[in-house]
Amino acid sequence: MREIVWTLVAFALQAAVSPLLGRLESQFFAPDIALLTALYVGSRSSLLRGVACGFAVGLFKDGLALAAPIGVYTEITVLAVLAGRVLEKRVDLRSAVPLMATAAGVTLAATALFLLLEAVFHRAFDAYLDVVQMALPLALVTMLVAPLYFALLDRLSRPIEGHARPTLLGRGR
Amino acid sequence: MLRDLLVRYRQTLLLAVALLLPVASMYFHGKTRTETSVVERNLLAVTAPLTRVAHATVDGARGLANDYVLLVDVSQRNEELQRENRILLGEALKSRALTEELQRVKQLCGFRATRQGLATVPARVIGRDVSQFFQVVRVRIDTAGAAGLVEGQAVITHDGVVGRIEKLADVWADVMLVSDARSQVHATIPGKGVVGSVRGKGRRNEFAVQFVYLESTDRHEPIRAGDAVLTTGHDHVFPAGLEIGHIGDGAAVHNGPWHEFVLAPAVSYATLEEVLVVTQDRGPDTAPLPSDMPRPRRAVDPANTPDAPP
Repeated sequence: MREIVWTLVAFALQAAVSPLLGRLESQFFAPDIALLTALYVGSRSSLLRGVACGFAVGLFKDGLALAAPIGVYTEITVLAVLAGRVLEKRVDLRSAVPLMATAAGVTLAATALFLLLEAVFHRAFDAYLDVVQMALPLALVTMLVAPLYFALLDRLSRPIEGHARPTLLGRGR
Repeated sequence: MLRDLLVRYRQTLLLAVALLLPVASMYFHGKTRTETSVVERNLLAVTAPLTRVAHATVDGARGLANDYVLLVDVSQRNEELQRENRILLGEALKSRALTEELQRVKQLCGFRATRQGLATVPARVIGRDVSQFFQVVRVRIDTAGAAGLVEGQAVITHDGVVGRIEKLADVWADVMLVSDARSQVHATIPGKGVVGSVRGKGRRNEFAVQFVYLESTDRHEPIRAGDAVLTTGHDHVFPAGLEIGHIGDGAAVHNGPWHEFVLAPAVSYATLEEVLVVTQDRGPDTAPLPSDMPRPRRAVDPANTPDAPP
């Protein structure tokens, strides 16, 4: 149930963020919601549910960004779910600063993976320099949004879980 | 056996599918193709409505914010536009005033051209004395220091007689209007065979001029309302042929041999702006206006009529 809610939230935000920032003429500073969702799901959910959720969110992003071959973002988000599972055991992803650092690192790694996958599978792709130039701004924006997004998903999970667990905004009731 | 294997390695298998399926998709969709695949078509079918809803929502929120929330700029812009509007309105009024002034000056110039026998000096009305009944009793003009001006000279416009200079000081002059009780002008009605004099009535609530004439034995036509009363020039102040006013609608008052008619002034004193001061009337050269010339009835300025409200 939680995973469905997270997936739907990710769908809605991905669909809304781009036009919203487009209206503000700052669409290049859109945070990577799919990646943050995958990281969150990986750190909060079981392996299979997390992978399924990451798969759906990545596929949806592939649908929104048809410029890349379908599967690129799906692959990245599934791997991000796995990374989230691994990192959750080593980094305190419930604290803001470690979370931000992790989000920035994962975003940069995801960009590198994107370039690699594009280079391998996308024969018509030639915008490597643009992607490299946007890597750092994307990582910074995603890093800044990460604590807020995690707090939002925590808040949405609380009524579903029905029991208290520590969150970024404090311990739930 | 196979089922046991599937259950046992379920997690690994699903993970492998989740990782390998995108790779296969990338491999398939990374090729240069012209047609849309089934996966792309289905993805579009799912994402397009959501994107459309998101765009509509963002647009709606933006419209709401612009139209109802962020009204600070609108208010400021509104003030700017109002200020701009006031400036433009002022310029339009100024432009209209200049156009009207130009029209009047053109009429005065035309009048001067038709009356070559008159030496005139243009002057601008700078003030009006208004009685307690809102009727103009005297006007003050700026002669701009023109030479040859003396008291008693006629002040006229292309419409007709205004009055005569009463006081003269530096570049200013006070004009006694023909409607003043002290004013007297020798006059006639062309084609009616009558002469007489026009005097100001000087009554408090009857600001009109009074036409007094002697019954003439050779008068063929009766005097009617609207007949134009012109100067004869016999008083040696006002040149001949200038219009003083029109016979009013009221009936004549018989006072012995005299017949009195209330006149409506030919000139609207309330809106008078430019005048001509007659400095010299070269009598024989002055060609009076032909009596048969059609004279349209002018609209009477309500401020100059006896019926003006107190």
